Amino acid sequence: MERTSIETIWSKRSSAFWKSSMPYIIDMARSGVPFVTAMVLLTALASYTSLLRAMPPDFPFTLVGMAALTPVIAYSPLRTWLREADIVFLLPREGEMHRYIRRSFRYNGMPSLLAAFIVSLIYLPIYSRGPGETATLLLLTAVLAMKSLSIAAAWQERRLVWRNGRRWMRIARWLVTAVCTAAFVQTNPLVAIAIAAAGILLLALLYRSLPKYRIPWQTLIAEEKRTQRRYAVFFSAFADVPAETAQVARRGYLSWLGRRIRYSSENAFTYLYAHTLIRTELGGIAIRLTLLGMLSGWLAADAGLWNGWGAAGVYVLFIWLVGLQLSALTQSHRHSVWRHVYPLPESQRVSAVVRVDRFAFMIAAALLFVPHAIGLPAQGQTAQALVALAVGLAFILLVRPARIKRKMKTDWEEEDE
Amino acid sequence: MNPVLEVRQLTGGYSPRKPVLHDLSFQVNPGEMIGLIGLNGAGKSTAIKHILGLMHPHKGDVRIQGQTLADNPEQYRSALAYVPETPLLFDELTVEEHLRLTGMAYDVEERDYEALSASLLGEFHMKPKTKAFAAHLSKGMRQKVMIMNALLARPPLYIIDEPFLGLDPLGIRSLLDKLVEVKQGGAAIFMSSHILSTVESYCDRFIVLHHGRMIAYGTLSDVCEAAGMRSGERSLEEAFYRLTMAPGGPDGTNLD
Repeated sequence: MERTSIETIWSKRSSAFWKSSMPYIIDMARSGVPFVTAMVLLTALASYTSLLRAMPPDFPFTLVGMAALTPVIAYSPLRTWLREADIVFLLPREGEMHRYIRRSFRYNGMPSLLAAFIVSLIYLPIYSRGPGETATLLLLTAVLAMKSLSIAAAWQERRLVWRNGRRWMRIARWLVTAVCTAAFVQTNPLVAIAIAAAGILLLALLYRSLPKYRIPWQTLIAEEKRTQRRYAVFFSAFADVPAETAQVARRGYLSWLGRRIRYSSENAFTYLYAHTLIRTELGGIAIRLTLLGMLSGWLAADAGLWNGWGAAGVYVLFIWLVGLQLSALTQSHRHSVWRHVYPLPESQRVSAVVRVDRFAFMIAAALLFVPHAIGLPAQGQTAQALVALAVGLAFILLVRPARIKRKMKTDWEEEDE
Repeated sequence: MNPVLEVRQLTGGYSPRKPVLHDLSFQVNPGEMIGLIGLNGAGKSTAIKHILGLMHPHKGDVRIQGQTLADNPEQYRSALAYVPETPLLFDELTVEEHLRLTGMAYDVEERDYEALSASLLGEFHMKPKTKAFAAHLSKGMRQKVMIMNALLARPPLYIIDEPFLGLDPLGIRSLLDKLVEVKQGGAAIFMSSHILSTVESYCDRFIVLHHGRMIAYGTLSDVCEAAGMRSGERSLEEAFYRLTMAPGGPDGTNLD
């Protein structure tokens, strides 16, 4: 029997992933995410054009350039579709794996380069008003070259044998990228090229000196698992995604909240769900969304967008987005055997989810409101801030609990059928 | 003496047209350990799922302390603790937090919980792993967490599915010692395992399941007799072999 080519395996896996994700993507599209994304982009565009029209003289050009470009240059994910079983079935074909990995490079590399190019184009109008001396074309070339080098360096990192080595080299790569980016947007191009050359040389020497695997199977499998989990968590906000094992972070700065839950049988599910929210990727996404909402809120409130009503809209929008993400909590442990084995009524599980959701939502709502509370009254737009707050609180306290209960009841009835 | 677990004429499975279990009837009394043995696919795990209430019987019923799951779900469930064949842990909880969750779920007094969890962690040599997540535990350690959780709940009935898989020799010894202890304390234990020598040494009675039917049930002598062994021949392994392999071959077609 003819052996399946390694490239065919890659293609089959890639299309299988997208085929299995398609129903969730459709659910997501139906839930109004494209509309919200369009709204976010329009708001961002409005803020951006008003910024360009009245650029403050003390605008931090270098800092903004560095903050905008470093992540798109340094972040270099790699989808390999590899899984545990490959240690048995693909390992014997390690000699052919360079062709397999090349497909992954192409798959992630092209969109990454495009993203870096687009962000650079967006940044250019700001850059042209700043102190930078590098010609536009040279800057674009430098960004794309750094992106390509970053993809190659990230691969060398994955190959490193020691976990700490991988971690430190990743930090070093991000730092070098940040410094080089800052140099290109701030100083003379020759100086920037010299700094970049020194950075690249330093990283290359470090990569060469550390022990590496030919193909880092375990690292790639773990990375793929992590990525798939992220997709699952994201999709679970819109649809019921079959439970995957969760990616867990200790989050010591939040875990004390879980410890404060009183020891009693009524609180058993609250204890479980609080930890689920604190420790899994679900909480991670909610935290990142809240931070992004605070940043967007600050920009909108500071610009007094659309007489303050734009800022109020941004607040409500992020309340909705955080809520959408938190609603994935209703799906957690839905298929766990312990839900049926523990001597606890189902109603207790529902109330636990409602409690944890409300607590987390109130904290997020308070944090999201901080920039508006500071920015809007300073411009005489207190009413807009108060209306935004009232809408947010009404949603969390009046609409939300009934919605969660209804959702969990429907899920429950579906299981019983 | 009222049985802790009573299974009466249980027929069940995943599809009503194709039952996996056929007319099972047995009981487990307080202070008794029953071993459930059978080949792969004999229906052991399905039987356990019916006892746990995860599957509805097609016919017959399962009673724990005289009540079915439908009569009083909370009481039924609080009367049993379960150790699954594959450790089922919450990824986001540490070992210590699993114990706390079980203590809360089974309404164990907080003071008792503190003392019991500390002693179980010591007995199963898991103190250094108290703050570890499931992903950072070996398979045997995950199994120990499951066992510690069941023992912490201190129910009248333990349902234990293949408990020795992945356990190190010290872990097996600790588990067996604890099972003897809880049995002497009056608890009933229903345990499925392929380690026949251990089952023979520790269990009081046995159920031999084959193709979803009970082909032998009772003490070691009863099982040996069912296997057609001469009086004086007492070996669970030999009886099991004879019952499941001969005559008629390993598919056991003669028994259906």
